[in-house]
Amino acid sequence: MPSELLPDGTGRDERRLHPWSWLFVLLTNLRTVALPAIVLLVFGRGETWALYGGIAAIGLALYSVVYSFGFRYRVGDGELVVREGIFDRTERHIPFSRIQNVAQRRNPLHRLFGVTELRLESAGGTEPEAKMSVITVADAAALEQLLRRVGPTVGAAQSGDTHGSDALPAPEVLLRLPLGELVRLGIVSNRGMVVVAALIGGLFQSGNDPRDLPLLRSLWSGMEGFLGEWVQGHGPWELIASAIVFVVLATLSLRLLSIVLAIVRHWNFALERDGSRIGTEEGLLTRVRAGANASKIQRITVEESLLQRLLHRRALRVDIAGSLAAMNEASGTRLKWLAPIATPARVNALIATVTPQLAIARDDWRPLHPHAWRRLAAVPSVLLLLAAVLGGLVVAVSQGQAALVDFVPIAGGAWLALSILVLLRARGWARFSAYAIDAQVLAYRSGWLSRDWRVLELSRMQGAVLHCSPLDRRNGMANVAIEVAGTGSMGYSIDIPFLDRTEAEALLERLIRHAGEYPAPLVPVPGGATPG
Amino acid sequence: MDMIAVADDPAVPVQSEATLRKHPRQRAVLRVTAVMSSLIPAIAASVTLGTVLDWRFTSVLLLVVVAAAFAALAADTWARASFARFSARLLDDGLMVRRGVFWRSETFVPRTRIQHTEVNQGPLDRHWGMAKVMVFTAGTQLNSVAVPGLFHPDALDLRDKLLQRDGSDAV
Repeated sequence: MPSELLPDGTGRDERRLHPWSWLFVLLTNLRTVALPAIVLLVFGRGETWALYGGIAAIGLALYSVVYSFGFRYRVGDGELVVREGIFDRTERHIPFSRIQNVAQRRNPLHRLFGVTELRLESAGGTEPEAKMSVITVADAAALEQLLRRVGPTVGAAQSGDTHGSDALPAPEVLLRLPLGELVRLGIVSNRGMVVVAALIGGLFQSGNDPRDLPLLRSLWSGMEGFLGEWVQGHGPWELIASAIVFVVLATLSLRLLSIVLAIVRHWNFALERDGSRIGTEEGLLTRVRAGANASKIQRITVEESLLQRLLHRRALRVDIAGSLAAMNEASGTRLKWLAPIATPARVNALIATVTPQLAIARDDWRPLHPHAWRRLAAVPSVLLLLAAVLGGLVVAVSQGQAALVDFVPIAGGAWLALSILVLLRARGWARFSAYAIDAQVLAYRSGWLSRDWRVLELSRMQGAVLHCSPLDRRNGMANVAIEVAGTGSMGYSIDIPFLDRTEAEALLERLIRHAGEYPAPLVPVPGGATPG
Repeated sequence: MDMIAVADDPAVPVQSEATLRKHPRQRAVLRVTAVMSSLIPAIAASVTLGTVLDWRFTSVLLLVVVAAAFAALAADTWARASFARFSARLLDDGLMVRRGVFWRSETFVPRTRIQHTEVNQGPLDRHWGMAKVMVFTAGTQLNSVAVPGLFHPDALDLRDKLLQRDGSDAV
């Protein structure tokens, strides 16, 4: 297949996908739809609906072949034109400036054929704007290169000459993760636990008790027999000690699994800067390459869990506007972790390189309301007290008042310990949590044992909210939240709680004034965000 | 009723204040909706309670009536307060919506971030000349902000003003 058109961006020829594309489209479809149909066909005891399922699967296979041969794309004037569909043909024009994310995914089969799956994504919508499954690695690289050249705004405006110049600097590697860092990443991550939990959940969800599966059943009954004998042969202290050993071993093996998963997922991680494009590439089996223009970064988040702090490490994440579907997708083909793990100094240096305006090391942090800790501790304390009183009542009613003599010291001790924990957390949280605002950015940090910092540019504000609950109002407090695009559906992009009411009102006022100072997007865009 | 005709009819007063007028029917709509939706759980809960405690039919009936009356009264009080608390203002730089009785909020959407707007009218709305304006942004929590209970001409006017991209606005 000729490929002379891309590097200089002047090509107008229509291009097809890689000749082997149908295989990959077919495999994707098989996984989602046709596999159950085949299972039905094989195990369905010759019933007619199983036959229909089989026919549907074959139809789907044919469709994949025709679909991938019918897919065309060409590079137009500052846009990519994609034609797809068989009966219902669509032609989509995707302006390069609208593209928020570029991602590639190469599983071992892709790598065997020397091809890749390329996704281009704009803000909004539920599907990727264009998904090319599959094209050659060279074609994908050429397209990426092209996007970078004619790509959005900032870089182009500064360098002046955007077309034809070959004076692009070579990609610069900002961060690599050697094996030692990947091991640390595994130690601090809970991925092992998540995977095991998902496995167990999946087993139960499959409709039958996992103990009914032959392998697990024999394992289970063997364990039961062994445990039964063992428990009878040992005293209580031995049992407690062995339970502790078991928990420690289980934790260790889960961490070991986390380490293996971290290595598989982030193997040979590299964060690169290529002009204004920021990209990551990682993966042992499936290589994932994700990139975006630095000017499309909506928010940065720095995370530091207790374990990370003990290892003197942090993580740096960015949010980029894009389709919701891709955001929720587990495969994670979007630029997200600029540094899955790095020292605090390194994280700060990375921020200074990529988005210098979004620094987290600031000296203008402003505290929350002086009584924020009381407000934070109030609800859990009341709940704890209620639980203790209710527990006492239940014991008194069910076992007589005499039983309270035994109950009160234990429950009282637990209540006291938990209350102290609640107070400690509230004090620690309120001491660390703070916000900062200047002419360009809003920053918020919060946490106690686990901490995080979030910073975003005010010019990207999609909306601002001052909100307060009855309890907030009683305490003369209010919360101020700000929203930018692409930060997911788990709450506002930044939500600063427990501010003094007048301070909160002044902050909202300031955000509103800011909105007036930023001009409208030059081109009114239908259904897409053009931040900045 | 033709929407455009109403908007263009100079006889229909289009308000020019920053705070948008609230259609009085919206208050009735809120009250009826709140009372209706409070009755179902109130009746269900009192019937369940009466059955579990094995009360006589007349006692259960009495409980249902009392519970329903209380629920309706509370819901109605809430709905009146909700209507009174609601206000929408058109600022120079965007739209400000204030709402909520217990959990209160003031939501601001910058004009430059509005992706598109919608003017909705149900059958009753059309009958009363009432409309709801929906404002959409690219945010996820704030991806839509609703301004219900406007006079229809005001709603159209708000939509037009929010989408104005001429003059100083589009620098």
